[in-house]
Amino acid sequence: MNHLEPTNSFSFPRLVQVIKRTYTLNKRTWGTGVLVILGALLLFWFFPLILGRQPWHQFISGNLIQPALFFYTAGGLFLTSAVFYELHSPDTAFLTLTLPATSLEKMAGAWLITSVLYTVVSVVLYLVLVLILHGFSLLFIGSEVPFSLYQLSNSEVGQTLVSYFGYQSVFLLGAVVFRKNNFLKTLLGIIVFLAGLFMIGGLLFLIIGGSTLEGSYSIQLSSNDLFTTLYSIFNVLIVLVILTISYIRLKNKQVA
Amino acid sequence: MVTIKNLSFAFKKGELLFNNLNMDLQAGRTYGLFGLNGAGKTTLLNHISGMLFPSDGSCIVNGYPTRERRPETLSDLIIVPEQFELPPVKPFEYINLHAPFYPNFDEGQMNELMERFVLDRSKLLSKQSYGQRKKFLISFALAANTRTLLLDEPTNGLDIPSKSQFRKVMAATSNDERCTVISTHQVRDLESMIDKVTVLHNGSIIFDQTIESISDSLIFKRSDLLTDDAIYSEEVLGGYQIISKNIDGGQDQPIDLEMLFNATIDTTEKLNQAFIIEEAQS
Repeated sequence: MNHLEPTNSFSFPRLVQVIKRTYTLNKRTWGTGVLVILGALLLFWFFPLILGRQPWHQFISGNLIQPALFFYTAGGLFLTSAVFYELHSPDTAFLTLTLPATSLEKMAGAWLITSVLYTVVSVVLYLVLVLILHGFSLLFIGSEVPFSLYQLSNSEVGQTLVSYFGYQSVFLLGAVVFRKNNFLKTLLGIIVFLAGLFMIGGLLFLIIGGSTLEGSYSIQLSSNDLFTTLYSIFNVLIVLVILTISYIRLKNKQVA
Repeated sequence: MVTIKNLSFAFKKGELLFNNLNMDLQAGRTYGLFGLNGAGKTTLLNHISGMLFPSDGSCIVNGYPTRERRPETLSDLIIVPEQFELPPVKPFEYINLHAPFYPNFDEGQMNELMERFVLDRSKLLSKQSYGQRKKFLISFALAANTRTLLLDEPTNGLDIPSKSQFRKVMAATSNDERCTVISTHQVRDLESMIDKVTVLHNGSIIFDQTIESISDSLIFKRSDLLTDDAIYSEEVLGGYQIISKNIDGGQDQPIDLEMLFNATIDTTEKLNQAFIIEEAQS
């Protein structure tokens, strides 16, 4: 058995072991989740065919990506909410809190597994599913159906990935902070925050753009490239801030 | 090895559980941490393991505050909580996942301990009985060979043969570099293993003596009549069980830790007085 150097600074081999640990402890739950999602996607695929409302090629070329993106986002956020489940019970907190790894490694491990690794696995699973469906259609229809992988490079996929990485950081914070119902509480937090933001934004537009909402439409911020860049940088900064807060909360977490 | 300095802690504001608690735990000793329910034994172990942070003061293990949770400190410290759950993995998976974090973990020793405790290697840990899980965790903690070992009610949930096996295993694995703290209510299960008795009461340490010192200062005897020199007595069938000052250096009976514990709670000052005189004489 290889032992890890008990250094107090960040250790990559220890990070790998933390990731391995997180994966192994959760693999049964996650495996069930994957099967449920794959099953749901197959249902999405089969129903229109069974009902005869959609020809093969239409479905293969487009419709699978939308439910896949939905399940990717929802599944990932669920998974993220539960990644620190050990922390919130006095019976299991010792497993995480006394694990000889730095808080940064524990946080980085949780983030990597629920964002980057989760995305890679999701893409691989999606491609496998598409290949299976393609093979299935070849086998049973006996003719080639339009099939391409362009679906993974369209803007909808890109936007979903960007949104996921943003929201995922918030759910990671929720996973550290909330003791129970992490997913729902984080979701509620986001809704309340966004509602507040819209209200403040609406008021500002009313003040800046005039007395009516009509005036606000004349401000076309989204068409400005500089604004788009600044907005992206702002989003990245927000994610970094949320991840830093999550790390601090984890570092200061005490037994439940 | 473990230094607790002016530690204060409260779960709720204004309700101090510990108030300026001081302790110094040495390597090579096994400390028996006793106290009534709610005295703060588990809370103290949680402070030593870095799972709780003091409101004031510090808890230092091997030179560093445990609240920093430095991997170097945590890899040389292990806790077996009283109440715990283990993940749904098989024993070998748990070992493969956690053992690499402990540089002195001995796989051979782990296998040996698992055999001695007759542990099931094929069943998921989460599906095993509480006693089986506890024996597994104790085995893991001992095989980790950390210099600080914290055991919270280790014999709770163990059957009689397992308790006996636990005592044998503890005796076989004790060493001069390890500081073991055992928190327990079941003093009779562990009295042969402990070499320092620490009693926690109302947030303070009211008694802290080695077995040697107890043996030198106190005498445990049975008497038909209640004698004047009794520091503490308990009525038993046909007489009294008495703790009195050991004047002539003899010892009629082995130390009865349960009775000693009762004495520390009921007659704290009187009991400690016997040690002050002893210390002054020496």
